[in-house]
Amino acid sequence: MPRSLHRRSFINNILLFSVAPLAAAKKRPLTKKPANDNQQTLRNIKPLDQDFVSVNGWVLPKETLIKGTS
Amino acid sequence: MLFDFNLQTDIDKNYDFCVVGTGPAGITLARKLSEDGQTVLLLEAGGLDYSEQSQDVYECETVGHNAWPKFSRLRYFGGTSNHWSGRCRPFDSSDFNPREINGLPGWPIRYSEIEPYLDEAMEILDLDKEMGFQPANDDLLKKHFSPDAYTKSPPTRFKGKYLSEIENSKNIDCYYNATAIDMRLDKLHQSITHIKISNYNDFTTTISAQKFILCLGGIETPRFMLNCNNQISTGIGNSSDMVGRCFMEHLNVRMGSFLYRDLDNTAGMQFYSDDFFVNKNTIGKSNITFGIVRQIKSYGRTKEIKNFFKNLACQMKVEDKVQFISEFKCPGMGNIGTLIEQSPNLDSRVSLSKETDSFGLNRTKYDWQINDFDKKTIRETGQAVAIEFAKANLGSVRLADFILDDTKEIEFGRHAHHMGTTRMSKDPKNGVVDTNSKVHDLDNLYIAGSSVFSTGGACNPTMPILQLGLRLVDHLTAT
Repeated sequence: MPRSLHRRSFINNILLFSVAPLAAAKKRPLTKKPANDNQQTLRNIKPLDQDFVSVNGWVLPKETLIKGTS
Repeated sequence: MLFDFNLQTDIDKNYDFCVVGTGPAGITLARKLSEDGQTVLLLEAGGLDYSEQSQDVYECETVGHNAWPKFSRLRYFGGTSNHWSGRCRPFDSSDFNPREINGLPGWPIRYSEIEPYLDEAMEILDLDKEMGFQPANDDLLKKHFSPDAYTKSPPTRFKGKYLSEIENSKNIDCYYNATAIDMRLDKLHQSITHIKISNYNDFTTTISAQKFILCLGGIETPRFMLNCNNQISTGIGNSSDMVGRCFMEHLNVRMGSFLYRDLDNTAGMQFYSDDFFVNKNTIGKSNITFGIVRQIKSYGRTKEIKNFFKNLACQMKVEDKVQFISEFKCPGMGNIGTLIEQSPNLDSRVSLSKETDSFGLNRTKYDWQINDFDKKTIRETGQAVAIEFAKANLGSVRLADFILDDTKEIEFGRHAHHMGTTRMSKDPKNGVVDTNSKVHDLDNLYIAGSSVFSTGGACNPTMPILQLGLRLVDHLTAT
């Protein structure tokens, strides 16, 4: 078997094993947004006290929701 | 002197004290009583080293939450000190304030009663008295949590430290491979006259002493008392049906994860809830650990590959999409763990299974229950610490679902701190031992160890076990 073929299969393997999982992990564009997506997000917001809320479990100052992060 | 009861079975002396169990409490009591000139028979059910034959006796029937009771304790000379981690923190004086939880009273003694024994307990555990208990970190959370102050024992292995001292002691006769299988009462059922022991060759004998002290830990002490049911069907010391009740553990709950604002920060932190927060919310105490996850849990070549993807994913900020490969955290990320006080609760209990062990004794039926009070402690502490973390501008906390949603089951872990099953109380209806650790029902039976804890605080139990044990020695030698 020619030496160049060995090298090519080696490089192919590296590319396959390092890039494929990341490619697979990339968020795929949604063809259609589920109708209840925003409602689901809203359900995951829970006030904790006067100044803090949890959003999907993350505990954040309320003002972050209004102003966004800097 | 040291004897193997499988080989030497003649015990014809009448001892001042019979101490059952060679863990930290039993060894400390035997040594201190011996120093006072008392003759002591010290019994160890296992051998000098670990064996499956001995450890099998700890096999339990588990019906409540599982806390791995078989292997969290060790049944050979030195007991569980053979694998404890060494973390030491004294009780707070507020742990002993009068209070009522779940209809049960707290400690009937004040902290000032055990505080004088702190120095000696530290000496036994090879702790640096000069250094004391140092805060784990700066006071970063300003409101409800203070930096936890603790210290670490090497950890002291009682077998390594005290075996030769006991072997050479004139006043202590220590028999190993000697399992206590029964206690015999006098006609009036007021005192113990004999204790029956067995070796592993089915040879049994009875031995006598003036006073008996059970030092078998939070599971075996009640199991042994309940198994002594030949003369009283409900077991010895159990007239109020309190033996084995109020089993408590320290609650080990993965509250969530966190992300430091400063991603280069790799320092772990430990905090302790303050009394104001605990009293205001009527909850238990807590120790909260912020621990950075540095390493991927894997080995060999797989670890290399996983680390490669971890680093790549963290740089590309797609870590949550790649964590199917392995559980990992990026720099600055970590988990929040706890050591939380469990409240005494009559339904959380150790009783007898129908299964029997190789000595014919009923095995433990282990029913660890966590009630609404404890769930409230977990949820309120979790939310408060997350808010404080954000207020202190340290970063962000992501709480576990069950902290925010009380319809979800809380996932518990364990700390192997078994407490409360022969709790101390003034009134016999609320506990098993009185303020001197003497069993309410009897004149000459005492208990040492974490089973006498009325409440467990949020500190590791070994040092308080020694403080209470040293206090008991003073009581026994003064009377």
